[in-house]
Amino acid sequence: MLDVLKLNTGYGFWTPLVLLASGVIACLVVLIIRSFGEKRYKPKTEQTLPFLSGAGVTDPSALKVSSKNLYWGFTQGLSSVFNGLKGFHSGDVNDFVTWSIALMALILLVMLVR
Amino acid sequence: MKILLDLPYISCALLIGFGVYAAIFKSNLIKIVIGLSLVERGVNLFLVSLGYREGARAPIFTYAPTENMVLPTPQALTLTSIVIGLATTALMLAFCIQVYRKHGTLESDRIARKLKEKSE
Amino acid sequence: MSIVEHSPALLVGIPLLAAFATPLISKASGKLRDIFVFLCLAFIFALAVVLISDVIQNGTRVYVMGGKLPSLTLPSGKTFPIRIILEPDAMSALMVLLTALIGLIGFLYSLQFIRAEGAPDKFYTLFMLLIAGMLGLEMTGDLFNFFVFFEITSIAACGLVGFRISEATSSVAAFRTMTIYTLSGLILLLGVGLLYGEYDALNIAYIASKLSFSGVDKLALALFIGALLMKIGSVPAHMWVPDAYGESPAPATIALVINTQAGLYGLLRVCFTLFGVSRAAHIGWLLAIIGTISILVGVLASIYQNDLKRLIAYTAVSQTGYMLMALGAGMAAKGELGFGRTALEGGVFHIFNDVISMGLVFLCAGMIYRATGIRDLNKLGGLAGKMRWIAVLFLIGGLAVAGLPPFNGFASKLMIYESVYKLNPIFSALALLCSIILLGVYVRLFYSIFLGSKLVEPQRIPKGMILASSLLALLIIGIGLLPGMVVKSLVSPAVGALMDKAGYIGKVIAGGM
Repeated sequence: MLDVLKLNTGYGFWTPLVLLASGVIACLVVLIIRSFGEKRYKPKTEQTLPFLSGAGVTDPSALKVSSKNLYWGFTQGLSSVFNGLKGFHSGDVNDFVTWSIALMALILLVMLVR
Repeated sequence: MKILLDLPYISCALLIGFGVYAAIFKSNLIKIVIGLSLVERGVNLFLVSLGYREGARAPIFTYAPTENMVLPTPQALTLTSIVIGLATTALMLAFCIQVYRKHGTLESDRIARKLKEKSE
Repeated sequence: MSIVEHSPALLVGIPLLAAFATPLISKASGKLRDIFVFLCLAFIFALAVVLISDVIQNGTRVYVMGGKLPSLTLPSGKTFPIRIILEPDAMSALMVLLTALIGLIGFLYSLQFIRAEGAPDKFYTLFMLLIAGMLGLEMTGDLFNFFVFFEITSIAACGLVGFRISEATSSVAAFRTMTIYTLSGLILLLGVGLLYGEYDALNIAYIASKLSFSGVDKLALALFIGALLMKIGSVPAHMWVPDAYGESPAPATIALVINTQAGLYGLLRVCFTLFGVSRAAHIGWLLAIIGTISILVGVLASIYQNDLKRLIAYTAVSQTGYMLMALGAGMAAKGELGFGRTALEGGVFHIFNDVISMGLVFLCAGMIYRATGIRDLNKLGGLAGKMRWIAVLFLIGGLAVAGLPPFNGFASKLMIYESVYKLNPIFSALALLCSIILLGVYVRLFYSIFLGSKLVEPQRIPKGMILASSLLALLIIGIGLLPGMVVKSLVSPAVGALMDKAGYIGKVIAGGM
């Protein structure tokens, strides 16, 4: 019976139900720890209003980090790689065909030389 | 490999080469369609010339029941391929018409730049 | 008994008939057309289940389209009869099951999705044509038939990509997709012609039995692999994938995903059955390298995208890289029962998982587009208040694609990592890194659409679309919790049939002939 739940990968096995059971136990532990917490927190009152540098915020679009800025550090730091990729994906049909023929030539080379 | 250096096969290779050249270096969309249809003609020529037998007649059974016949199977394959090429060329040209209506140009690099500016 | 016997032909014939009957029936009434298409697709799914249970029990089935006795189709001077054979073995039957499942779910989703876009009968025609082409491609045992079905799927897929004629970008995307598909089809035909010229036959089993690795054969193999890699969307021939997946309507996108996997099936068939495993070790290395580069480029290019469906399409490119890596490891292992078999099992299992989880993510993206009309990620936000269930579905799909335990993506990726590690640890390490970056990409996607403050007001989503997506989510969770059972009952026979070249040939030459 237990064999049905296992996935043999040839070097070991993977049983997802064990992971799920340990996840449930971990969630129970988290809930127990949370019940020791602050009892004065009430959601949806003025305790949860956003607050930016001394003034209340009324415009919702000012609070949300826009999608293109979300991983700003990553994109700025590796900007050379991403600019290279943007140049690679130019959108021109000629480039599509050029790279496909280049792939074809590479495979021909590998097949016929060996 | 030596048989591939006969004249029909060299002309097939040239046709395919010209077609691929047109698809790579010409930026007008109609010229790219012409290039791809050149490649298709080259492959069809290759298929038909595979069946050739030296000194044989056309594969019509009543004319040559006992003599040698050129192989008929590649001719059937080529007919299918011609029809498929017709369908793909028609579809690509229909999309070219629609692209021209919406964008006003048929140059592929200008279309690419326009779409990139719109999405920035 | 006769339904089981004729199931390969029915599987190709019924969608083809339904595709061309749909415009006629829809002149009568719209409801009648919906019922007709639903009955056809449900029957196809039932036939696919019957076929796979029959093939796993009784072995490969050979179905001859043509002369009843071999002697009737044997012209003078020939040793092998000229006819077209459909030969579904366990691998084909698995792909047929997937195609039929996606057809049914795509139809359920598109009932209300396409009605808002107009011209539903044309959509169903193209959709059924694509399903028919894919089913034929996956079952055929004849090379030229493979090419014909390849072209059928290309034309139908490009029609679906350019379906939204009124938008400016769809026609450009359809033109680009059609260029690459046509070029790959022609290169495939060149390879078929070369093999025909050398062996005077088009039957895969016959050519596989007579193959000697001469120069022309190697050239034909290179042409096949090149053409199929272009259809699969591996780097550097992947640039049509974001255009095609991004511009087509959502139910068409999941059909396009499985169209790509049918190309991968073609690659498996050519490499393992036609050309044999043990002679292609350097091609295995080349495929593994191309797969790794696909994973890298796909994941890195999806970081800076701002359009919803194009971003998901780039992650689809990276998932294809995983399968190519597994295929390459399976070939480079020289077919021994070691890491080669596990790599192939992981790859085939990943085809299964990828279609289902990417399908769910694309369906959720379609629902978001339907609710808000916006595809730009910068303008979406805070939809989780009104669309809770869709947020949960998107989370399930996204985490399954990224390969998080306990979903199904993790199980197949684990098999791929462990077996590719034996080939070269660098591949495995890069793939693992990219899986983590992929998780980051999906977290960003989830935050931009569902969390944060509400920037746009969503409309109500019809129930049919939610039902179709929930079916896929149930399947993801089910396969994720019981991966061993799925691998043992479906994937292992498929890989066994794939690597058993002598059995494939023997069914046609000794028995069927």
